[in-house]
Amino acid sequence: MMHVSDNEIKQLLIEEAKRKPNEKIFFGGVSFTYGDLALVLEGKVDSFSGKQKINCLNTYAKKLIKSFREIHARGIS
Amino acid sequence: MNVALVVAPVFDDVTGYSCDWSNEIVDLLKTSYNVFAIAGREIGRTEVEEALKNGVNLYVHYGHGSEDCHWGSRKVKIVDLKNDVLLGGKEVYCMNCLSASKLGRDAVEKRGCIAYYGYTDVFVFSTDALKEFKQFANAGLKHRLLGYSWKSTVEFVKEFADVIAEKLCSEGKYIAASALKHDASVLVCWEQGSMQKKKSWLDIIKEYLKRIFKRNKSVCCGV
Repeated sequence: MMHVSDNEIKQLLIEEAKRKPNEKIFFGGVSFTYGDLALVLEGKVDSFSGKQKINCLNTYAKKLIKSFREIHARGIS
Repeated sequence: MNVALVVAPVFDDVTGYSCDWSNEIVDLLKTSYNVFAIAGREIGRTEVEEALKNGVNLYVHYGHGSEDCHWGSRKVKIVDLKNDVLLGGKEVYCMNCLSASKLGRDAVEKRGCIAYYGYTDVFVFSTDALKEFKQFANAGLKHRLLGYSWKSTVEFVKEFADVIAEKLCSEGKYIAASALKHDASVLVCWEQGSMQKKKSWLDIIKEYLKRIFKRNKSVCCGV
């Protein structure tokens, strides 16, 4: 299976998030728009309000990348 | 007839969705249970406690959870480590964050809860795949109602999640697919007799010292 780097996965998620910025993702009780997610994945944290929220979304974004890697490992791309 | 209690509070966007998802479960349960549903509003601790005392066999919670509790509103814990004795002798099905990590373990290990199906981390979902997240959230109870064991149910739901994730990827919904995969990875069902007891630090140190002692003894004896 072709190796996919975290950056490539990130890029895929960023592209999708940018295509539909108004969709929302809920991590438990905390919600973010896909637009927010794209900003954090791109590292454009200055455009994002609330330090705590950035840390929170950063943590969750890592979980998404890890999960996507598992999906990829099953041969789904 | 067996009795099922379905608790699905509503007090924010997330609980609006989860309560909506629970409606399908209520309808389904009606075929084999007397169903008592408390849903669609903020819910108090006492009313849930009273309901749980009324011969309930299956308790279902859809909404917000934390490691140690199920929430009935932003401020009210309806089930937590102080009243989880009420889960004794019952099967529990949760669609909430985290509660399987501490509350679920405690209920099964110490309170005689028969089985606790839930998540050990946050439940993640996105608005571009609500239908799929509902399917995933409800799949366990649907499978269980067909007569399968809880163990088989968890295995089935994890495999089902892979199928849904594949479908989502084929539609270009990678974020939703990743979220669903995460949810499946933190899904567990604790059951009586099948839980591996969490070791305390003291237990780990004791085992380590025992091993060293045994090894030293063997060396001394020339074995």
